[in-house]
Amino acid sequence: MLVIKNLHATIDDKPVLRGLNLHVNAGEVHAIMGPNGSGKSTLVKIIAGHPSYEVTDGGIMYNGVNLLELEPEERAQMGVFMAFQYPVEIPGVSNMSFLRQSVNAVRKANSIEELDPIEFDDFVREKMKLVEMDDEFLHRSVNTGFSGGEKKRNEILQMAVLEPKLSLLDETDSGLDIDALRIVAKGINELSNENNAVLMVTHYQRLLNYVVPDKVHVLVDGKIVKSGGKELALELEEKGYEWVEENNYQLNGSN
Amino acid sequence: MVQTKGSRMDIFINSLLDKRSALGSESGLIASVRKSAEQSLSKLRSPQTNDEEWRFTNLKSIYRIEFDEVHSSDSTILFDRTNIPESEGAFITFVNGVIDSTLTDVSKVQAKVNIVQFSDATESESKTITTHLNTHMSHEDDVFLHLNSALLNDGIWLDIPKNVVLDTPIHIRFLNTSKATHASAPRVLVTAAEHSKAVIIEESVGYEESVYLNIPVLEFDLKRGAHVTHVKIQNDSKKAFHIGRVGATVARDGHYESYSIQLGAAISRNDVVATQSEEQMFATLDGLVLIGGDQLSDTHTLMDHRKAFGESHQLHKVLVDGQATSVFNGKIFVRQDAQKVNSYQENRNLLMSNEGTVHTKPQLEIFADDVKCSHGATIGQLVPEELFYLKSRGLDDRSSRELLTQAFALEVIEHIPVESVRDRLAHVVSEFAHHSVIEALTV
Repeated sequence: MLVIKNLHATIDDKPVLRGLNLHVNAGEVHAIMGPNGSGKSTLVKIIAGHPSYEVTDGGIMYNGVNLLELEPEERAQMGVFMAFQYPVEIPGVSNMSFLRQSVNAVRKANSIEELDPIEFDDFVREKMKLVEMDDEFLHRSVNTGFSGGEKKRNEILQMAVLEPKLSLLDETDSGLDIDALRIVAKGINELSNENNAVLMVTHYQRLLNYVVPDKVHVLVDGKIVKSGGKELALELEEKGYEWVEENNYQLNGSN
Repeated sequence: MVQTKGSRMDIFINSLLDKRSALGSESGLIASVRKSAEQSLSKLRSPQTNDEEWRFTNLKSIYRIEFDEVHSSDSTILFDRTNIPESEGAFITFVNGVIDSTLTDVSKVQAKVNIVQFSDATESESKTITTHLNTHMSHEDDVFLHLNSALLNDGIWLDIPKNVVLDTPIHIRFLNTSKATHASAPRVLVTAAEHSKAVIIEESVGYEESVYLNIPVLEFDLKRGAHVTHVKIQNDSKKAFHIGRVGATVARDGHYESYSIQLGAAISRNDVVATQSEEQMFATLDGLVLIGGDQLSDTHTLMDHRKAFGESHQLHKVLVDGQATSVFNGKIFVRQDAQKVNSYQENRNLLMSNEGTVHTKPQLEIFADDVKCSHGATIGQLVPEELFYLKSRGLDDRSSRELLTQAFALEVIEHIPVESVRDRLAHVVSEFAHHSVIEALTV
């Protein structure tokens, strides 16, 4: 589904990714871990099309399409979804109307008939059970005055209604208390199936207790330095990032 | 002959005074209001751009107008009933500055509110009105306040008795329909007695091509526990000039909410003053300005905390398109006795084009030592991170820009307590966002 080869990227001419390779198949859940500033969030933002980054080498193929040639909205319309670490507040625009606009923009781009408000109402209510939200949520302005946990749940609700093929979760676990974490994780688990894939970025192992990854990658200094199964996350938790950083240093040193 | 500074203004004032309609009697309320205003005016000098309060707003295009009349009674020309904004509950309409009884219907509130037309006021009513006029403004040297009084043709006094809660808003419309170049000086006084509650909507509308000067003055007196919401919608003709004044005095436990929406006029100036007269009160002085083309819109506000335990909030948002210019001066005075005041002011400006100009000046003067005051002013464009958020949800560039532009403005509107007004304004906002975004993307 997603093939990233030798990806190099910069922000304001400073290199942030330096030759990253990654292969994600449908049906898989991947976790990207790494110390602060290693380029984890950068990676998902580049896949989603964030305008601040410049790709200087390498490429990203998504279901056979060169993603880098597409606008962010085109990527979204093709099933790429990113849950933001800091979701944007949109005062004055109700959550309901925003969700419907998004869903219909994606449907329209895929020549699927748009949902009218009544159809959408039924559709969204079903999805809301997944994130344990009540109706009041739909009538509030998008993310405005939401607590950290509510914002993250709202991101998962958007994921649920947009039904993406590739979900990029940028530190979705940060700032969550244990109950919110459980709800968010349950949502992610229920939404993932053999036809879609999840790439989640996290600093801590905590989320991975709830959403068990098929593969764990450790990102240091803009490169994946170690990949493994879910046990790698536990090893990292125990030994700390210095362990892989040292390994990385030795690897580089031997070059 | 040596021309002194401001002489053009004096000619301007005199020409307006000369064109006033004569009054039937020289002894009534209106005559006496006019007379004392003339005296005040004789001591005042015209505002010029070297006056601090008028630095960015040059009125010379107003001073140059040759007026045909003051308060045109010719309401038939350019009169299109379909253009009259939908009435909200009870309504009172001034057409070209003159109260029009055919467009006035207060039956829904008549039983609860005492509505007095200045020209019909009894001696005791006249006395009460006189004790209020000009006292809810702090600008004793305000030329336009006195000009309104000097040009007074008629006014409305809304007297809301003790404990009366109005569930119907009172909609006061200032329509300008005359083809003649004219001036209108409508006047309204609202006295809200103890624990009364009312929503007053003030709306100015003019017809596209008409040139006129609209100087409405509204004053509010809130007694203890009174709750008044004032929504001002200024949608004058794009060739007209609007110089409006709003003043409120708020007593203990009073609650004054003011929303000023500036949409029309070539040049508009809106001054809003709220004065805390007793301990413990609440006021909101919100504003929304949507301008484009060559429009200039200037808002000056003053929140005057004179006593302790006051709270005030202010959110003033401005959208500038085309070559338009916005001016904002927000004063907050916290006087020595006003301990424990909690006040904040936020001014945010969104530039939709490369040629717009924004002048903003928060002005906090704090003389008490135990207060909480904050302010912030920003001028900017749509934030790329926010645009990216919307695009990542599948919305295209244009829709994302429109939605964020709308959201910027809706933050002010969403608190207005009248749904039909909110809907009407939301529509104006979405049209404005639509056009300005398309323009920006085609440049």
